[in-house]
Amino acid sequence: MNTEIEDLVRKFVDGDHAAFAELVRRYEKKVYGVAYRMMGNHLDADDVTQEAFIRIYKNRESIKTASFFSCLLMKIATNFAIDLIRKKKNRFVAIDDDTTASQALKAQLIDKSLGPDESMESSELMAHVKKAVDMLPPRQRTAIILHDIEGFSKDEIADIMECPQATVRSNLHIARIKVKKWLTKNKP
Amino acid sequence: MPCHHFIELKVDDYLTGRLTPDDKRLFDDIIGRCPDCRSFLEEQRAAYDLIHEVSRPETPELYWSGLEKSILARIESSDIKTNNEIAADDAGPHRIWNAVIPLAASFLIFLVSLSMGDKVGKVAGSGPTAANTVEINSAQTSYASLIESPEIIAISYIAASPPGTFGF
Repeated sequence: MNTEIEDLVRKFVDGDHAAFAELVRRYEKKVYGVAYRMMGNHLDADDVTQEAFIRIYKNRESIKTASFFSCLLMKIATNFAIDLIRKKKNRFVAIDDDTTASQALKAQLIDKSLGPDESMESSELMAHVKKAVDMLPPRQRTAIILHDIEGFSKDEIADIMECPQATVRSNLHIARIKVKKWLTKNKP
Repeated sequence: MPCHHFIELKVDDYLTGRLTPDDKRLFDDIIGRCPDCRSFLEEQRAAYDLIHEVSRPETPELYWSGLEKSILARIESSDIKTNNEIAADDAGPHRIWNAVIPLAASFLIFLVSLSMGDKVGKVAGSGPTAANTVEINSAQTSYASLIESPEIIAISYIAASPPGTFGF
């Protein structure tokens, strides 16, 4: 954590409005990225991002360090996103739903094995993987997005999700197996 | 520790390149000789590689400035208080009023009932004579006038009103 961020966080905790504006600028893309992957649409991601910053503003007096700031911000964002997901449960479809997989995508999946050396060139294929991630239960989805996409460590994720590291680990392993199975099953 | 426990414990750090050199050596050694651990790693790595490649959503630069403005406007326009400020407000003068008003109302009711009891006691002790009938009437009048006094009406109104009506 660089000293510039620490300085900004200290000023923000002391009520400096400009410091808060700067922190919004620095963290909005990361928060939005996680929110978008969790919610799957722009409107909800925008809602989650705004709410995360508003709530951290309200809780600024509890912030002790810069690393705590980013962790708390992510915690607020992911918890709010999980709440929203649970409220919109009817949006989720069964894991074996194959209706949206196009023929072209199926062909790509035949050609490309799911091996580690395969590169992801097609945005359609990426959308398919994203769909597999979207099928996961909220907490497994949160763990996989934070770890495999955003690069948070298990330690940080345990803080964000308020659970033991072992739970994060099992969420990650189960989520990966589910994603792999879903993608394999949806190959024609 | 059985080899698969070590692999399960370290596979995420292995995938993200966070393993220490010693752990990496041991990890590679186990993977080289245990088919089950190798199979587990391959499954995890296949999914990780796919998920890891999912790109960030593309958002126009204009959106970010709009988002910043929107967040800052919400903070400036609405009366957003920190949790400590809310707690301080709760502990402020409003809380004193919350305690004082019911206490004052109870005290007044106590005084009135005391005064009434005194009058009734006198009446009960001496029987209905012309003199104490006048006394009872005058006591009833003073009680009625007290009940109808603006202070009592105001206190009753405040006490009966829902919380928050008068700012406390």
